[in-house]
Amino acid sequence: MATKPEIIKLMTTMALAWPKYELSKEAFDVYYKLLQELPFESLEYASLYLMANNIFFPSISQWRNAAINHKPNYAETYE
Amino acid sequence: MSNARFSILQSKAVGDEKISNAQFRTLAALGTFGDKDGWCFPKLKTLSEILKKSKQAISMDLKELENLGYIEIKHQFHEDGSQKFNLYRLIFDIKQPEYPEYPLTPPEPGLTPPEYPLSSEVDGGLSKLLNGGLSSEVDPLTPHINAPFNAPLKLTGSGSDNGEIFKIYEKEIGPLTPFIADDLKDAEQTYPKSWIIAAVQESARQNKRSLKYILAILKRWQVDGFHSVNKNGNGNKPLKHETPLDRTLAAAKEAMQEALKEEEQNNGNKTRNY
Repeated sequence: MATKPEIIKLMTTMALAWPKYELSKEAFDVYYKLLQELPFESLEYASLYLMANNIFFPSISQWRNAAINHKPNYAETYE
Repeated sequence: MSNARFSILQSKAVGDEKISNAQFRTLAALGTFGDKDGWCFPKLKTLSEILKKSKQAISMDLKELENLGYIEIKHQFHEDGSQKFNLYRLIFDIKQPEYPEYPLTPPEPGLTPPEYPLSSEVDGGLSKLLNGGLSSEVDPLTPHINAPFNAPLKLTGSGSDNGEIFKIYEKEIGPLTPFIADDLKDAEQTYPKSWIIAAVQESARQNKRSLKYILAILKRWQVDGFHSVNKNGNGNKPLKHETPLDRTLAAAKEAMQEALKEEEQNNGNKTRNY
């Protein structure tokens, strides 16, 4: 489970990748409410994937889908 | 808007295909300001507020109306050459009939002066004027109707109080257009004259020669006090423009502080429960 400071940290990092996209305090709250159930590692990996592939700042659903579908493959890492 | 209940304009304008609906509305708006002789001097800003159009669009409408002969624009200047407000004359829809030549020799005693024939189109006021004087019989309720000619305007008030501002503006910034003159006159209603002069000189000193910059200086002085400097402490440089990223980072900082506070509170509650 991701905590609010962790999600804010990820979102701030993503904001650097899309500097023209403006996020409000309320946006951080909404993203946290809808993403808190997912583990931090998945969200972090998904954020890296989205930063590498997305043209625009991801919506909550895009981030959720990426976190569910693009999980880090630890087996490959340890090979 | 003027308090007039009526607007007077040439009836020809109603069916004239040469003028657009917008120009007709401009003419009608001008008509509400006209006095009994058709003279008026509303600000472009006032007209733009009434018609919900830009001052430039209204200026173009007025020029076109002048070309079509519905109004006459008289430009006025101060003694120093700077431009004052424009005067507008609504040209009324009454054509002066061709009169027979008035006898140059005075009429013989006992003979009545000749009656001038008037066409039925012409308003009755004209015949009164020609045949015995009109001024004493003006209808107070409908003064426009009894005003067949455009008499010269008698101005009340000097209207040249802002000559010094205009003079300094032209000296420090550049040529004065009617739009700028209007805006400076508006500014004089909000800010003291000395402030405006100082703001003009300040903008020239910083090599930012624009009216927008002058108004921004005045606005800042109104908030922070006369001759205050920018928030970055350097009066010579404008404030750094905030980017979306700056605002995002500020929001993130705020959200992070709140989140940490919430976490602390939650931890405190948990320890109390144990």
